[in-house]
Amino acid sequence: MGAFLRGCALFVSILAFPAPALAHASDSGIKLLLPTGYYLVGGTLAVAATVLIAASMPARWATALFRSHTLWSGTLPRIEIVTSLLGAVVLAALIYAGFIGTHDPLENPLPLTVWTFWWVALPLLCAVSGNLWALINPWLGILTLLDAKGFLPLPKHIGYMPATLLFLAFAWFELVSLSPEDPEGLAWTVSAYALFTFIAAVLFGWEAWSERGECFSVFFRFISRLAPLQISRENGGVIVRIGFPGFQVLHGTAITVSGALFILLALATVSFDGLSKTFPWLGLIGVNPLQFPGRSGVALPNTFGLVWAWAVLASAFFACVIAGRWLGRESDAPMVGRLALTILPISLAYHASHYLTVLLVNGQYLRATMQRMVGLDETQVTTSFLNTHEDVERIWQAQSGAIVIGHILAILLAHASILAITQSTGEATRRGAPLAILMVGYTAFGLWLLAAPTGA
Amino acid sequence: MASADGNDMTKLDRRTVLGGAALLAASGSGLLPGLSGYAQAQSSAPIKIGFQVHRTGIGAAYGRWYDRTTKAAAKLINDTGGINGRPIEIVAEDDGTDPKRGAEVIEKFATKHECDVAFGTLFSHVVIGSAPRAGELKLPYFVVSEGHHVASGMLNRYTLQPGITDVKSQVQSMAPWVADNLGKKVTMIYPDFAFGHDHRDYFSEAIERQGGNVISKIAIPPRETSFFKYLPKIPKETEVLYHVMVGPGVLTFVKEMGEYFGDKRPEIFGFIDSLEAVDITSPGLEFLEGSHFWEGYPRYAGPDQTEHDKFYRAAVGVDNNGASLSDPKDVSTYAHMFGCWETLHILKAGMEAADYKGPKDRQALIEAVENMDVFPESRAHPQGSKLFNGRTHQAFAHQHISKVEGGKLVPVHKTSIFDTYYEDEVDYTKMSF
Repeated sequence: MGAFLRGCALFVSILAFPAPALAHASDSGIKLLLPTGYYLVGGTLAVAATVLIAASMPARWATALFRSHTLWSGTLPRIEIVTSLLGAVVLAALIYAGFIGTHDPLENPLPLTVWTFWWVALPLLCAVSGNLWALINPWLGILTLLDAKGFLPLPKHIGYMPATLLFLAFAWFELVSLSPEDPEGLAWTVSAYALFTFIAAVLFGWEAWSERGECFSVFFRFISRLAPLQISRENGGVIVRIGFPGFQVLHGTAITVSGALFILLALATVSFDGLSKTFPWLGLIGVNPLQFPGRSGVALPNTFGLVWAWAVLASAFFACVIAGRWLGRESDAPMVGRLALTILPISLAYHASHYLTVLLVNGQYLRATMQRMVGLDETQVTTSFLNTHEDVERIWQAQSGAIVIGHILAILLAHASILAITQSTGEATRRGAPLAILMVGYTAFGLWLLAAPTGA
Repeated sequence: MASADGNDMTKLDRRTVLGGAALLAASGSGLLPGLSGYAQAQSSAPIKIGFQVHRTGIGAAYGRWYDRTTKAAAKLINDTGGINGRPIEIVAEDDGTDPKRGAEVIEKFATKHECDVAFGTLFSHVVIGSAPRAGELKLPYFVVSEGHHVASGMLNRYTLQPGITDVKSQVQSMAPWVADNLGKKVTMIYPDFAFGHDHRDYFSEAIERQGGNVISKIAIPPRETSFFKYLPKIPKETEVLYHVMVGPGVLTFVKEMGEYFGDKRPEIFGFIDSLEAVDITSPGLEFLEGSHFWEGYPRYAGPDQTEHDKFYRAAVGVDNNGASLSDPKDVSTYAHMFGCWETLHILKAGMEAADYKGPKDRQALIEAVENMDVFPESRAHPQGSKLFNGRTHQAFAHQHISKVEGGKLVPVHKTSIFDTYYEDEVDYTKMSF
C-alpha cells in the first residue's frame, strides 16, 4: 500500500504540480540572444566549401597533407606495466573513496575523476598526445604479472560487437540511469566492470579483449588515432612519428563493419545527449521543457531515443557509403572500414563542444577536491561564465569552432581515404559525395544542437 | 520583534507573543559562544542532518548556493556550541533534481546514514516525490522549496517548511503595493502550465481585493522562444504588466519586450526567480531599468542593511551586490538560499526545545517546531522576522519589492507579514504520527 501511495505521489508530482520559477536563464538563454543562425550558416558553408576545395585540388595535395614524418626512433623501456599497476592502485583508492567517502558527487574524488577527468578530459588528451589509456588502464599490469594470456579464442566473426554492446550499456548508464554520479553506486559499477573485464581478459587474453571487447580501450584507441603524434613499437624498437591530425586514420589498418558500428555509436551517444535536452526532443516525448521531471520521468523514451539515434546515424552512414559505391565508376572496392574512421574527428568535435561546460564547471570541483585532499585551501567554484554575455559568446565560439574544424578534417580525411584506393580525384569526389553531404548536414545539426534552447 | 513589525505585533495573539519570546531566548542563547559547549553534552556524537541537495540535474545552479549556505550555517552552529552541546554533521546526498531519486535519498538518510532529520531540497516535484517516503520512515523532513504543496495539505506531518514562504504568499503579498503604486489595471503574461496558472490565480484574486483587476491574461506555450506575436495582445489601457516568464527564453522575452514598447511602456512587475544568479547589468536587460521585481531577500545591500544581513553575507561569502566574494560576477541565488540558513537554525531551536537526544525524539521535535510561532529577526533569521503556522507547517515572512535603478535592484518596499497570510488549508497537528 505504501509503495502504491508513493507511486501515486510520484506520478502526481511529475504530471500535475509546478516547480517554482527556478528554471532561470543561463548559458542556454544567453545563446538565444547570440547570432547563432549566422554561425550555423557560415559554419555549414565552410564545411561545404571544403568539399568543393577537396574536389578541385590535385590528388597529391590530399595525400601530402596526411604524410607523416619520423621524429625519433630508438629503444624505450616498457613503462606501460608500471603505469598500469599505478593505474590499478589509483582506481582501487578511488573505488574505496566512492564507498566510504562523502556522498556528495561534486566532492567525492571517484565521480569527479571518472566523469570529469577520465570520460571528459582524457579523450581530449588522447587526441593530442596519443593513447594514454593504454598506459594507465588498470588491467594490463596485473594480467602481465599473473602471466594471464588467455586460453579461449575470441571469435573473429563477432568483431567489435562485445565492445559495442558494452559501450551501449555505458552510454545508457551515463545518459539514462537515475544517478550515475552517486559515489557509492558508481563504486559498485566501476568495481563490477573492472572485475568483468579482468575475467574476460583472463579468458580471452588482454590483447584480444582490449582489441575488441574492452570498450574503453577500443574507444581511446580510435580517438588516439587523431593525435598528431604516434608512438609505436615496431621490430623491437620505438618509432615516434609526427603528422597532420588524422594521419594515423589514413595510414592505419581499416576496421570492420562492427567497428564502424562502434564509432557510430560513440558519435550517436554524444549527439543524443545533446538532443535529449532540447525543447524539440522534450516536446516530442511530451515533456514540458520548463518543467523537466528529472531522469526518472524520461528513462523509457530516452532509452529508445539512444538506440534510435544510433540506428538513424548508422543507417544514414551506410546508405551514404552504399550510394557512393554505386556512384563510383572505376572501383567498387568496399570502403566502410576506411570511411567509418573518418567519422572520428566529428566524434571528437562533438565530445569537445558538448562537454566543454562540464569540464569548465566540474573541473573546478575536481581541483577543489584535490586541494582538499592535500590540505590546501579550496578555490571557490564559480559558474559566472555561464551567466555573462561575453563569456557565453566565447564558449559558443569555441564549441562551434570545434564542430566546424572537426567536420572539415573529416571531409578531408574521407577524400584522402578514397583517393588512397582510387588514385583519381574525380572518382574520389563521386564516391565520397553522399558521405560529404551527410557530413555537411551533420555540421548544421551539430551547430543547431549547440544553439537550441534546453530544458533538461 | 523588530520595529518594522510594529503593526504586525498588534495583530498577534497572546500565544504567538509568548511563543516568540521563548523562541527569542532559545535562539539567542544558542548563538552566544561559550554558553554551551560540547563538553556539557551527554553525548558528543554529532547530530546527523541529511542534506538533500540538487547537485546534478536542472536544479544544480541552485544546489551550489544551497550547499554554500548550508555549510556556512552548519559551521556557525558548530562554532557556537552545536545543538544541545552536540556538533552537527551535514550528510549531503545528490537528489539529481528528480523525485524518484529524492525518495531514494530520503530512504538512505533514514536507513543507511542513520540521520536524525532530513533537510534542504528546493524543486517542488522532488519534495512531492520525497515527502511520502519521509512520512513512512517517520523522518522529519524540513524543506526549503517555496512551493505551496506543504501548506496546501498534500504532504504529511513529517514535512515542514519553516524557513521560507511559499509562492502563494509571495504572489498575493505583492498586490497591495502594486495596486497602490503601479496601477490597478493589470495584464499578466505567464507560461501556460501549472506554475504560471498559480501566479495567474493567486494574483488575480489578490489584486481584486485591492480594487484592481487583471484585464488580460496572456498564456505563453512553454516551448515558445520568441514572444513578438503575443505582445500586441497587451491591451493599451494596461497600467501594469505582470510577467513571470521562466526558462531560457526569459532574456529573449525582455529584449523583445524592450523592442516592442520602446520608451512608451506600462509599469512592469516581475519575479526575480527568472533572473536569479543573473547580473542585472547583463546586455539585453537594459529595458528592465525602472521596472520592479519581487525579491524574497534583497540581493543588493541597501542603506538599511541590518547587522544580521551583514553577518550572514560575510559567513556565506557574498558581497553587497549578492555575488560571491571570490568572483564578483558569480551572482548568488540570494532570494532563496537564506532558507537553508534559517531552516538549520530552526532545527537547532526545535531540537533544543524538544531536548532532542536521538531518533526516538523525532516526534517531540516535530511537536516542538509546530508549537513555534515567531522567529525573530536575528543572526539566525537575517531575512527578517517570521511567523510560523504550526498547523500548516508553513512560515510567513516579509517580502520585498525592488526597483531596477542604475543596473541594481534597489529595495523600495517591504511587505507586512500579514500581507502573506491566508486561511489554513490543512491542520497537520490533527494527523497522527
